[in-house]
Amino acid sequence: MSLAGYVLRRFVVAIGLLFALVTVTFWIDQAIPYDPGLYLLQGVQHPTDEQLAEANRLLGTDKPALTQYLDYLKGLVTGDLGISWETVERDREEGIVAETVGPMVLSAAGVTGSLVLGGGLLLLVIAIPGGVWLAARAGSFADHAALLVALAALSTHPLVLGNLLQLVFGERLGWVPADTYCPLIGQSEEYLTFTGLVESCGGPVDWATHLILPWVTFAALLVALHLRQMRASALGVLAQPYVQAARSKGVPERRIMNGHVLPNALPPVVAGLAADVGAILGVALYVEVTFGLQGLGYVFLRAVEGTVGFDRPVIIGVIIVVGATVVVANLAADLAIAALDPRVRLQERGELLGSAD
Amino acid sequence: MSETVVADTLDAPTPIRARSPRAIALARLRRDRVGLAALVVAVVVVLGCFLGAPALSRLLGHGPNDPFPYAVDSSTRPVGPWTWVPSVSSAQTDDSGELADPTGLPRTLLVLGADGALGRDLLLRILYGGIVSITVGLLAVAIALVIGLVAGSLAGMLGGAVDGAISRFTELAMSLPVLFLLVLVGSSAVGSRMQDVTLGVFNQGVLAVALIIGLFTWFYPARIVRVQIQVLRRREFVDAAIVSGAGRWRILRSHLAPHLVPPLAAWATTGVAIAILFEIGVSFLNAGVRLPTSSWGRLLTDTWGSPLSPSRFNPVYQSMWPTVFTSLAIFLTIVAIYELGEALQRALVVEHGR
Repeated sequence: MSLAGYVLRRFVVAIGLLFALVTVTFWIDQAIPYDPGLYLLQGVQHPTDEQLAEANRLLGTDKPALTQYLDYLKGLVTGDLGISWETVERDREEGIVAETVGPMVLSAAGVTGSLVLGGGLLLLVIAIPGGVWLAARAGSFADHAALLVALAALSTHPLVLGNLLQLVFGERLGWVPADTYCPLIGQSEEYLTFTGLVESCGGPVDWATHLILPWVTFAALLVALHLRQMRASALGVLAQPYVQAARSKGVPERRIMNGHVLPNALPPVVAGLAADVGAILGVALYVEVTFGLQGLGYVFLRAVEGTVGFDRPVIIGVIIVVGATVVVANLAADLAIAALDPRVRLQERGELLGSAD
Repeated sequence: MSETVVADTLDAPTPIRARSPRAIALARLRRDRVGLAALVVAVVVVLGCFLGAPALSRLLGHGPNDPFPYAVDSSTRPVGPWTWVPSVSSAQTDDSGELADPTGLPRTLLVLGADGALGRDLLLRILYGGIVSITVGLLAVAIALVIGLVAGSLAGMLGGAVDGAISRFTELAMSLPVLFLLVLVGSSAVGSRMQDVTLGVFNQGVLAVALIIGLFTWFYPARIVRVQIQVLRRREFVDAAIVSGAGRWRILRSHLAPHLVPPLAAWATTGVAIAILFEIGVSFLNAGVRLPTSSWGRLLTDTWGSPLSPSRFNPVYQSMWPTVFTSLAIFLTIVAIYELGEALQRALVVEHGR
């Protein structure tokens, strides 16, 4: 099968998966009893039935569920994710105004993306060389100590670790900013710092300094998990005959590590990382909340925890973005593994990947 | 001289006894000092929680949910470790809002101090919380193993369309943003109704949380089983079994199943650790066990709030002790389980060509 055909087939499956995700989420939401009309009547003390019916008519939620579902899918095809019910307001007599979900979710995805990419980079830079380094001296004091530290990081919840880092480095020592997200391009809205100053920030320097603590928090848990995996994978490679052969030929240890162990140990770890993207975005949720970053997790929590019920368009919007990310990440990982490891032929992809763990 | 030695060994060859894989694994485990230490710690943690908690509660004369108003100061900051506090559940306050003079009241010991603003016994809450967290971990892994074993064997043995369907479904399940759905389930009516199902054995909510975690982790064992079966099916011993007339079910049960044990055992130990961490995450998302039942996640939530209502740590109102001791308990358990898993893996590894 050609590479293009393979990618195309994966994309078709991916679109099917996303469709299934949207469907499942929509009908779960349908099964939960609440009245979306109340979103429009948040200031009203005791809304009458007429008011509720009117509000639902304006939101389009008075129609049968199946019609709503089909309408939503129709909008989705044209890239319209609907409006956020939480932000909906009455405009003059008849109409309503609200934030559209598309831009809202996209800007949140930018925040989460900044967090995940930076944290992920930190993870790769520490876990991959670290794992190989530890495997080379397996059983030594450094090995045991590093693994214990990794387990300690694993046992400390990101919410606890994040708060601690924020408390110590952000507020007590004041080395780095403790919260808020600064956009990479452009300026943020003005905000109140915890010392009581009104500030606005933006640009690469602000962006990076404000994200240092979130990145560290985010990476700590994942490094703990993947350092061990990388070490185990490298240990497996070190036991292979070709490593012994290289040693007996007198190849320097450094070159064995870089030339033989690293490339062969990497694919299963990359596959593991890609399979965990859903979970990784979950970790991002905790970090976002701790540091007040308005990313996907934050937007999602706000949509779920509204006083009325569920802000369904936002929930589905976030799930589409997260689901699409997971699908793309998995595809990218499979292609990366194929590029990293010549043994993996595309047809036997599943089996070889699986047998590696 | 040397000839006689050779003759001796020829005369009396050391008997070679066949050892079952289980015997080999047990022998290896017995020699594994780190593994044994991990086993001891794990047993101590489990016994300490399941037997130690009720025993200690009797010894101290109070339960994990009993509040002690004298165990917190005027700004509700809990007392530190090893403090004797008046054992009254309600107390009079004077005009300035201070608690009345406690002299003359019977006292009780809080070994690790109090847990938070309510002034409950931290040690007891950690031990009772351990029961919840460990049960959730074991139960979730059991659920995941059962579903994963069935789905994985079906996909691996039947192949074709069944395999395709199960694999696609696994992919779907894996691409679900788990935590996001947990929030959805946890805050919905279905979730709160599930909390009441206890089967008469478990604490309220334990089954619900374990079920959620199990339902979102089964695809890992399913994948392991499917891949193992697909690889093993090409081996000669399976061909031999087919030739001798063994059916699918028999091949699966007596030829393939033994090979599934090592990777599944290794996954299960990691799975228990991950499930315990998950329970903590679920508690943070307010979808965990119902209060006042204690769990490790709930204990941390007391100090650090949840994503839905985050709270900044404030040394005036809060103490670091609950976080420190709870994290220590989690750390000890996770380390023991992980090391046990690694030891199992070392013991169960099949050496080819020896």
